[in-house]
Amino acid sequence: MDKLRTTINTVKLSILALALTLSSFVFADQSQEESPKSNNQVTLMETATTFRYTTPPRLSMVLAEALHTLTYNPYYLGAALVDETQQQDFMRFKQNVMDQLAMAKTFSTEKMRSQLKHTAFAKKETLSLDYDIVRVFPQKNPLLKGQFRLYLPESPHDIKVYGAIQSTTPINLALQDGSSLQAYLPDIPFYNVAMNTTIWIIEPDQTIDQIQNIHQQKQPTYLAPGAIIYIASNEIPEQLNQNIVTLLQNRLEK
Amino acid sequence: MLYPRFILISLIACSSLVHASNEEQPLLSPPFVLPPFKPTQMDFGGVGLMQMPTGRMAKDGEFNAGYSHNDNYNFYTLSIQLMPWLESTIRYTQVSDALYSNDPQFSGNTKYTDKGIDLKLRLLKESQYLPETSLGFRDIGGTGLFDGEFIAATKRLSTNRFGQFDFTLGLGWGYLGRRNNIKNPFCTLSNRLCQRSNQYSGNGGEIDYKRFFHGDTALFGGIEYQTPYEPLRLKLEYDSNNYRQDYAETHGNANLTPSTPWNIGAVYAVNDFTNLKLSYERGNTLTLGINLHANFNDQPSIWKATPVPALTNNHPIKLTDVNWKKLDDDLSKIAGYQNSEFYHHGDTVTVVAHQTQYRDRNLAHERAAAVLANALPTKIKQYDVIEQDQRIPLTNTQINADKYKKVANVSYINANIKDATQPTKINKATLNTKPIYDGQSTFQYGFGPHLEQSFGSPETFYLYSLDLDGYASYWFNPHLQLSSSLSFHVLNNYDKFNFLKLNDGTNNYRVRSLVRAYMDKDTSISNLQLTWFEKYHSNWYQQVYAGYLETMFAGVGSEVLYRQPNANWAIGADLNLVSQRDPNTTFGIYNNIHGYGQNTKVLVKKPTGHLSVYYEPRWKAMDNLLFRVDVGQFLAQDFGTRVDISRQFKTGIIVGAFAAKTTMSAKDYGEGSFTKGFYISIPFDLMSIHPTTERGTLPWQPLTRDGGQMLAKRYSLFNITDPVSPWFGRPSSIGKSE
Repeated sequence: MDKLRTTINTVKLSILALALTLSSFVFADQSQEESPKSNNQVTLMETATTFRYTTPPRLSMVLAEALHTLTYNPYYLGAALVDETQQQDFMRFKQNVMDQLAMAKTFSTEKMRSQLKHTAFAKKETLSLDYDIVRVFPQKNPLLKGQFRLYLPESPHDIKVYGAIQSTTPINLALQDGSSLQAYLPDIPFYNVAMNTTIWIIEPDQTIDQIQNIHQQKQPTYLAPGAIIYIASNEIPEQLNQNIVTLLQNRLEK
Repeated sequence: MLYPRFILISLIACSSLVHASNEEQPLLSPPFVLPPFKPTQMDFGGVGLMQMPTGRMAKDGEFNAGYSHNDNYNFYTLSIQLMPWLESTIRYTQVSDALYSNDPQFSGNTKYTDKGIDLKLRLLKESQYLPETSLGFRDIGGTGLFDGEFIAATKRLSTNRFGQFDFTLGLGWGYLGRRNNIKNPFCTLSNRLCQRSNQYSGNGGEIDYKRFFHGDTALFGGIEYQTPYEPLRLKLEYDSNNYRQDYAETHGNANLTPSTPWNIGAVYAVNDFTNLKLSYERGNTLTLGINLHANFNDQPSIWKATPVPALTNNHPIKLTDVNWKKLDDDLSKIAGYQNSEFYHHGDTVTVVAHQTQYRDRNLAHERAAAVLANALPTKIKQYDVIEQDQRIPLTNTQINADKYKKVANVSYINANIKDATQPTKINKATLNTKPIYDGQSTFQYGFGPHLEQSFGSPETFYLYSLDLDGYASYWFNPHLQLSSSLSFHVLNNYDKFNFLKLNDGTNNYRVRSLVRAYMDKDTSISNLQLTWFEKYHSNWYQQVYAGYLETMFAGVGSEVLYRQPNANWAIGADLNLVSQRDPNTTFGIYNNIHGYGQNTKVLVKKPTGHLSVYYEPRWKAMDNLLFRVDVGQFLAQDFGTRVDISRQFKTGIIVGAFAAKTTMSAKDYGEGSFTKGFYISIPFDLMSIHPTTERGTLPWQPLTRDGGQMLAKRYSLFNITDPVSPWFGRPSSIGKSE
């Protein structure tokens, strides 16, 4: 029954798409710039406010309006812009990571799969959402055509831990001001004592850092609020670990 | 079964997609990490303790210039981390208690000077249990003042409160094994390995591998301690040398007998690029030193570009209304495209020009598009930018006008000029039509300073000449050029010359060892030649030239080169017939091989030429290396091979080394045994506030002799065709400082 409904929907959509294509042919000459009918909207997730525009707005304009609706100063390192129309490839990528973890079927991968299931992901656009930067540099102030989600969160007070740990959900650790990675290690339920594993740090602005031999090289690595510590698993290929890191770079605050 | 395979394939496809979109961000540039422990230099140059080396490598691209002084030796050192796994050091040593030679006529009271080259190769990276382990060769290819080999292993211990400790344990041979505190492990394999010869082979300068790992062997070790006080590092080492056979002791009056094998020292970092060193060695000798360092992988450019004009709506209606002169000037000023020629075909305007400012051609394209978009009518939908050098068309880039406007307007996220440009073939039909405007000038000229220098000569440690070079060229037609350059020697210390012709006891054609006779003038015409440039099909290039080809030679010749766009190889050949110029007259050429003097042979109407192969390997361990191999007849009529290997760092700085082995024997060659040298080529836009594609090269050739020498041609087709598959013109991958 469900299948039938999907098919009908698909047919409907196809007709709609065909109609749209034809109309765009008819109007092709006039639509040098975007047609006024096109629906440009940005939803600020924190307040569930949707801003609609007849022509694609500049990012600075959207940010200015969004900031008006907020009662706090947003934490720009953790801000995210998600293009609703650009998610298919990423979702396929995510599904493949999950499938690979499911196929691996080891102790740690089951835990990791569960952790990732408890997390929301979306392909984030790689650009700064800091209002001052966007405002000052014209190159960093693009037009936003289409439908977007905007996340302007408050500064979190914790650090998250994913990966080969004894937990089916990601662990939240309270942020310790001015502390480096070492300060958090005692609170992480590692699998084995030897712990000769690679640790990845995913900072909230998507920059990543890879740390090997944590016990040998005590270079301090500082974590920004909302950073993720990923304990790589020795039971899966290096590439899969890296793909999980890519996923975690695109983690959303729920 | 199909399903998992499909997943795997799509996963690979997707991961490359996701990674591609992340390319703009540097993958590992953590903003929250402190700078790592940086290893420091030893007295001899290169990473180490004081007298003893360690197993550590510096960061890739690290360049270090050092000086260290004590009562016995002065060391001037240059050390470069050429590859992540290869460190090389060049060292000049002055021995305080010995003279350059016993002949005051020859070298006055110049101190004994020795050149040395060290190499260190990493065998193992540090891991949780294994130390960073390296194999080193000290003073290879010298006269062997300090020659020795070592293997050293270094392991780090970090503490939270008390700083970091780097422990080293090593085994040394030769200069590093004199204390002989352990039996040579190789000696048990063969008795031959128990003795080390003091003789060097050939006339010095050869790699005496037959001596490697022979004779006395000693253990050494030490600790480098990074104190919690950041600028201060302390060092302690156990010295494996007993200094009984040091040159200063055997040939001078110095007494280097140590009262203890332990040396202690401190390194103080004055700022990010200066280290001061103080150590107390052998229990009786104070040693002072300074090290300056930079990293060739992270020097930001400082140039300020002319602002890009904003898009306007004020366009001319017709092409005839375009102010071509202004467009030509703007392209030159804003986009670096000089002396443009413009062609028109349909909705396309083609610009033919030479790029002089931007190594990063994407930047040049963006700027050119900005200028063209404002200056041309809106009906022009495409701009073709053809880059040329010496009027040879090299590359063509199509810029789509509408797509460019979207990029300029930042109409979408992460808009990039590459979205609007596309490399394409050069349309010859267009170039054969009449240009609508020709901004090329047939006459060009310029001038610039030029510094010639040499170290370690008998007369004085440093010889220099500061020249003013003027050059001019005239084009008779699009292929034929007359060019000249003139040198005025403004300032030099060549009055210190004790001889013009080197008496090195050899009987070769004096193709280079007579160079002083040519430098000892106030002005000289270093070049005056006619050149014909040609391009056949799409990838063959040729030049034919005749005249005064360089300072020392005149003649005729030709060069051909085959090079494909974006290929990592090229192949070429040249053939020349040359005669040596007479240094005593401006335009004279020798007709007689004894023209300079009875006992001196000069070159008269002799052929020289090479087959040349250029190759850039594309595998990770050989990243950014260019190999050039020339096989053929050299100037002194010796036949052989010259190999040039160079590494390009992220900033575009190139460090190279070359060596030529020919049929000329080491005995016939004279001191040094064969020709070898080094060079550093620096893009000027790293130091200039104006962007430029020019480079400056600092050459260093320890000795100039006659074997393995090549003609210094004015133009090299490999350089001219560089934009076809950039090597010299590769953009810096370091962000620009704002």
